Amino acid sequence: MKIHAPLAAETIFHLGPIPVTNSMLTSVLVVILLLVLAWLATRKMQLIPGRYQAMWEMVVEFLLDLSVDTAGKKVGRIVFPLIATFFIFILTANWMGLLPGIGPSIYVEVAEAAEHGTEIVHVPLFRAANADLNMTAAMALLSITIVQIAGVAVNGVRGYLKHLASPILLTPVHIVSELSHIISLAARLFGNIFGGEVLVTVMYSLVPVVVPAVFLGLEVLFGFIQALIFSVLSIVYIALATAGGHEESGEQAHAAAH
Amino acid sequence: MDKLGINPVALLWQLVAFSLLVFGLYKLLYKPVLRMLDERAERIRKGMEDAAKAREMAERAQEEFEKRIAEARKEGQEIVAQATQMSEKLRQEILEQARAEAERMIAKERERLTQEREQAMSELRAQVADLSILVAQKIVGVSLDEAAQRKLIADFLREAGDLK
Repeated sequence: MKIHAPLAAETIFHLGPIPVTNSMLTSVLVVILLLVLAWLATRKMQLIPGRYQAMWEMVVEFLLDLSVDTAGKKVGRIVFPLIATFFIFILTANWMGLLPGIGPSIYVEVAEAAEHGTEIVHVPLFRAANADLNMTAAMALLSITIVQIAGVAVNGVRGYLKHLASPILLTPVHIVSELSHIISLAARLFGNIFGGEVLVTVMYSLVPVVVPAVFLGLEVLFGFIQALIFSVLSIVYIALATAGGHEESGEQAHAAAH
Repeated sequence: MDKLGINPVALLWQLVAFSLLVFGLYKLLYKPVLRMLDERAERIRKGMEDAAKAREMAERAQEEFEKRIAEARKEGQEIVAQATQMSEKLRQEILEQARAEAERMIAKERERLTQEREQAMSELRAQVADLSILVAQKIVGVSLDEAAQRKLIADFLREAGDLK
C-alpha cells in the first residue's frame, strides 16, 4: 500500500477566488467549536460554578497564571488572551486531529490540475489544522509581531532599537534571531503534528490493531506538549522583549523548551 | 514554499480565523471568567474580612461586658462600703446622742433631787423650829422646872444641830 502524505494541505473546493484547503476547513471547525464551548461555559455563569464552568475557569486561571507569572502582572494580563488562545486552539486542534474523520480517513474526490487537463484525486476532507504550515506560520507571525509590539510599547522605540542593537555589531544576529523565532515556532508545531499524523498513518498500515492506539496515546501527550511549548515560548519572548535585556535566561528557557 | 504548501491566501485565512478566535474567546470566555474569578475572590475576601470584623466586634463586646461587670461589682462594693460606713457613723451618732441625752437627764435629775432635798431640808428645818417652839410652849405650859427646861432646850438644840 502506498502511503500518500503530502506536506501541503490539499484544496477541497473554491470559495470564489479562494482555494479552500482541508486544513482551512478544520481550523474553522475548531474555531466554531471553541466559540460554542466557550459560549456554553459562560452563558449562565454562577458564583458557585458547576463542573463545566469550573473546568473552564481552571483552564483560564492556569493560563492567566502562566502569562502573569512569566511576563509580569501588567504585560501578562494584556497579552493573556493571545497566549491563552494559542494554548486552547493548538490543544483543541491537535486533539481533534486525532479523532476519526479528521486526517486520512474520510476522502473526497477533487479535480486537480495534472500534466494533461485535470485529474480526479482522493484527498482527506479534513486535515489537522496544525499539520498545515500556513496555520502554524500564521500563529508564529502573530506571536512574534506581538513580541515586537510589546517591546516597543514597554521600552519605547528607542529602547526597542537599543535592545536590538546591543552590541551594535550583533544587530543582524538579533534580527535573524527574531526571524528565526517565527520559523522555529511554526516549524516545531507543524513538524510534530504532521509527523505524528504520518506516524499514526504508517502504524495503521503496518499493524492495524492495538499498536496505533499506543501511538494515538502518545499523540495526545504530544498535542498537549506542543500547545504548552508554543504558548510558553510566546510569553517568554514577550517577557524578554518587555523586560529589556535578560538574554541569557531567555536562551535557557528557549533551550529548555526544545 | 510551494512544496511546503505555504501560500498567502491560506496564511491570511488562518490568521483571520485565529484572530477571530482570539477576539471571540476574549468576549465569550476570558472576560466573563476573569470577571467571575475576580468577583469570587472579592466575595471571599469580603467574607473573610466580615468574619474578622465580626470576631473583633464579639471580642470587643465581651471586653465591654466584662468591663461593665467589673465596674458594677466595684460600684456595688463601694455602695456596700459606703452604706456600712454610713450606718456605722449613724450608729455612733445615735449612741453618742443617747449617751448625751442620758447624761443630760441624769444630771438634770440629780440637780432636781438636790434642789428638792434642799427645799425639803429648809422646809423641814422651818417646821422643826415651829414644832419645837410649839412643843416647848406646850411642855412649858403644863409643868416644867427650870432644870428640865434647860435640859430640853439644850438637847433640842443639839439635835437640831445634828439635823443640819
